[in-house]
Amino acid sequence: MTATALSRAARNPRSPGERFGKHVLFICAALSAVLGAAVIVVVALETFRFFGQVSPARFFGGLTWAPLAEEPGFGVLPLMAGTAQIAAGATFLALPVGLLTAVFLRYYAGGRTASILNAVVTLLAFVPAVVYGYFALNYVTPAIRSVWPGVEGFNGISACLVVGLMILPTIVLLSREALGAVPNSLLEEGVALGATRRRVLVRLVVPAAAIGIAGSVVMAAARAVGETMIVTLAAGNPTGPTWNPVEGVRTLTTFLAQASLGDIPTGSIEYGACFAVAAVLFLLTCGMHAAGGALMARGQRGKPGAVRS
Amino acid sequence: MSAPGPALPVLSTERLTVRFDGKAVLKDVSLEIPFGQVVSIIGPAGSGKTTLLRSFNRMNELMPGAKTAGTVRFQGVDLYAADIDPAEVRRRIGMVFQKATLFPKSVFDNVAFGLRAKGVEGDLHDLVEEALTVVGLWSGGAEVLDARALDLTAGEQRRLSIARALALKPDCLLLDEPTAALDPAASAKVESIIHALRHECTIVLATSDHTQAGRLSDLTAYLDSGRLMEYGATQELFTNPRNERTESYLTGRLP
Amino acid sequence: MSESRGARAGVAIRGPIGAMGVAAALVTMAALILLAGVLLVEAREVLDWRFFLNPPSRVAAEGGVGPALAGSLWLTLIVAAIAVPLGVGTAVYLAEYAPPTRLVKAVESVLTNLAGVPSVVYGIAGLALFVRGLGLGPSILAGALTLTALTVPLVVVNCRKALQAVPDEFRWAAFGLGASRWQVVRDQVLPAAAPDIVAGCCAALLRAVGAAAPLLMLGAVSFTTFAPGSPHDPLTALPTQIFAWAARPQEGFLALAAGASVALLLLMAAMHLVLFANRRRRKGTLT
Repeated sequence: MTATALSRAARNPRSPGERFGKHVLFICAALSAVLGAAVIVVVALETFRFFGQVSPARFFGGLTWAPLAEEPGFGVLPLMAGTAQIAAGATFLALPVGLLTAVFLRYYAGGRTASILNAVVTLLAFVPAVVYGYFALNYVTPAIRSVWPGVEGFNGISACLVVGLMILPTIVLLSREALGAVPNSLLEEGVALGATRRRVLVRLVVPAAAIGIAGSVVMAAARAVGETMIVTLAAGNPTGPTWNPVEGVRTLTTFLAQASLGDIPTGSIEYGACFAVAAVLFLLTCGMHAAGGALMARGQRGKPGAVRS
Repeated sequence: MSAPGPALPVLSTERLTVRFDGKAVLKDVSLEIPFGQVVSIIGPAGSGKTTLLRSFNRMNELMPGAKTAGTVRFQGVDLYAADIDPAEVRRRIGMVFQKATLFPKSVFDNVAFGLRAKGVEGDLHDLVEEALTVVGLWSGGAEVLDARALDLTAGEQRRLSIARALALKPDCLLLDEPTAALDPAASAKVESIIHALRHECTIVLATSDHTQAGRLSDLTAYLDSGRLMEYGATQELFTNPRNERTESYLTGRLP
Repeated sequence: MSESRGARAGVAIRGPIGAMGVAAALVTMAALILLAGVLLVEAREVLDWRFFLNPPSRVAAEGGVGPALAGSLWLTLIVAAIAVPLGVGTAVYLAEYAPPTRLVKAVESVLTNLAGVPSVVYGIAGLALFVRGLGLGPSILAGALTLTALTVPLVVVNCRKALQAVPDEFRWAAFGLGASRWQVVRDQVLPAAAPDIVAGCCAALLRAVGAAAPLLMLGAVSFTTFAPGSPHDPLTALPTQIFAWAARPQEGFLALAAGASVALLLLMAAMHLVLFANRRRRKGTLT
C-alpha cells in the first residue's frame, strides 16, 4: 500500500448517499431561503408602493389612523401606542408570575411537582391564541365587569390579562433556561458561606441570570406585540384612539385582522396600508426577537462547559 | 505498490503553521516521525500538542476558523493536496481523542463503525474481536460485544476507543493524552497496550505527563507556545536537554 | 408575609420566595384548569358525533365543525409534508454542511428572525403571494403554503438547536474513524439529535395548526356547507371557525366555539401522539 491510495480518485465510488445527501440538503436550504425572502420582499414591495401614495412622514408622523374615512388619516402612531399598551401591560402581568414560577421550577420543585408543572406550562404554550381569545371575551371580560361595572365589553384589561397568560410559558421556559446557565456551585458556595438559600437566590443567582431573564422578557414582549386573535376578540377595534384601558384598544394587529374581514381590492390604498402596518410589525418583532436572542446568548456565556478548548 | 521502507519518514512536517481565527497556535514546526517509532510530544498546556497531532490526520479543518500553512507529508505524499480524501487519511492515520467520546451503542457497533464507514462488507466479527483482543477487552465471551459502550468503566472506555481506531489497521496511531483522567491501574494498562502496539504501527502521542513520555517513547519533541523547541532521542532529551526551556519544563521550573 | 412585598421593589428580600414560587405555580396551574374546565363545561351540550361531521348552521343547535375539521386536516397534512423535510434539511445543511460564508450567515439570521415574526404578517404576505400572486384564491392550498412559510423557520430554528446540542466531540470521533460527512450526519448526529428534532417539528406544526390570524387574512370562510375535498376547495379551518363563533353574542354559539376549541385541541393532541409514537418525550421545546 502506498500513500497514493489516499487520493479521492483511488476510492471506489461506493456511497451514492454522499453527493445525494449534500445536494438535497442544499436544495432544501435554498428553497427555505427563497420562501423566507419571498415573504420579506412582498411585504417590502407593497410597503414601498404605499409610500408612493402616502409619504413616510404622514405615515410615521400622523396622529390619526382612519384609512376608510372621507378624509383618510394614515398616522401609524395611534396603532403603535395601542400595541405598546397591550404588550407592556401583558408583560408587566406575566413577568412576576413567570419569573417566580421559573425560580420555583429550578430551585424548589421536586421531581414530581416539577414534571407536572413543566407539563402544565408546555400545555399552556400550545393553546392556540384564538382559544385564548374566546376565553378572554366570554369569560374574563364578564368576570372583570362583575367586579368593575365601568369596564366596556371590549377592553384592554381583559386583553392584557389573557395575552399575559399566553406569553407566560415563554417567560417561564426561557427564564428557566437563563437560570440554568448559572452554575449550581454559586448556590452551594453561597449557602456554604452561611447565607440562607433564599438570600443567595435573590442576591446572587437571579442577578447572575439577569441578562438572560431580560432576554426572555424581551422575547415574550415580542410575542405580545404580534398577538392578533386575543386582542382582536377581547379589545375590539374602536374607531378612535384611546388611552383608557377600560375601553377598547386598537393595535397594529387588530387593524390587520379587522381589515381582512372586508374585501380589500389589490392595489388600493387600504391594501397598501395593510402592508405598511405589517412591515412595522415585522421590523418591531424582528428587532425585539434579535435583541432578546442576543441577551439570552450573552446570559448563556457563564454556563459551565460553554468554554470550548 | 512499494512497501513503506524505514528510509522514508512516516510523517513529516515542513514549516507547519496552524492558525485559529488568525491566532497562530503552531509556528513553523518542522519535524519527521520515523517509521516504527513511538514519538512523544510534550509541553505545557496550550503549547499546541493537540493541534500538531490533529494536523497529522486533517482534523483541524473541522474547526471553524482553522488555517493550515506549510506541508504535512505521509510517506512522502502531501496530505493537504487537493485530491486527497481526508476520510481515507483518517483511516490510515488513526486517532484516539483525549476525551473518549464513544457512540451510545454497543461495544461491537463502536468498533465496527469505522469498518462500515470504509465500506467493509460481510461479517465483521473477526476484525472487531481482533481489535478488542489487542486492548484486552476480548476474552471470548460474546456478551462483551453487546454491552453498552457507555456502561464500561473509564479505563475500559479508553481502551475501547483505542480498539475502535485499531480496527481500521492504521499505519500510524495518534494518541492525545491517552491516560488523562484515568486512575493509576487503568493508566498502567493503557501504557502497556501502547508499549505492545509499537510493533504494529508508528505511534505519536501527546502527553502532559513527561514521565510517561520517558517510559514509552523512542523520540520526544518539546513544544512551547506553538514552537518546536527540541526534538531528539528521549533518553538524550531527558538527560541532556540542549534547550534551556526544555530543561526548565522537565525540572518543573517553568514559570 | 409582609416582607415578601419587597420582592417587586428589588430591595433585600428575606420573605419566603419558595412560598411565592408556589403561589406563582398555582396561578399557572389554575389558569390551565380554568381554561380546560370552561371549555369542557361549555362544550358538553354540543359534543357528540354529529358535531364533528355537520357543517356550520345559522341555527346554533344544528351547527358542527365537519368542514373546518376536514380543512384543518388538509392543512396539517400538506404543511407537514412540505415544511418538515424542508426545515429539517435546511437545518442539517446549515449546521453540518454550510461553509461559513456571508451568504450562509445571512440566510441563517433571516430564518432565525423570521421565526419571531407574528403569524398575521405571514397572512398578509400569503394574501399577496399565493391568493392573489399565484391566483390560488382563498383555497386550502393557499392556506397550506402560507402556513408552510410560517412553519419552516420554526422547524429550522428548533432543529438547529437540536443539532447544536450534539457535542462536537461526537462528530470528531466519527470523522477520526474515517467517516465521510454524510456518514457522520446519518449515523451519529441525526440519531443523537432525533428526539429533539421530532419535538421541534411537533412544536412547529402545532403552532401552525392553531394559527387563526394568517388564515383570516387569506379570507378563510366559516360558513361553508361542504367539507373541502381537494386542496383547491375554499379555505376553512378550525381556528377561524372558532373565531367566527366566539365573536357571535347569540345564545348557543358560545357552546359551538367551545366545542370547536375542544375539537382543535383534540386534533393537536392526536398529532402529538402520532409524532411521538414509540418515543419517550424528553422535554418541551418552544419557540
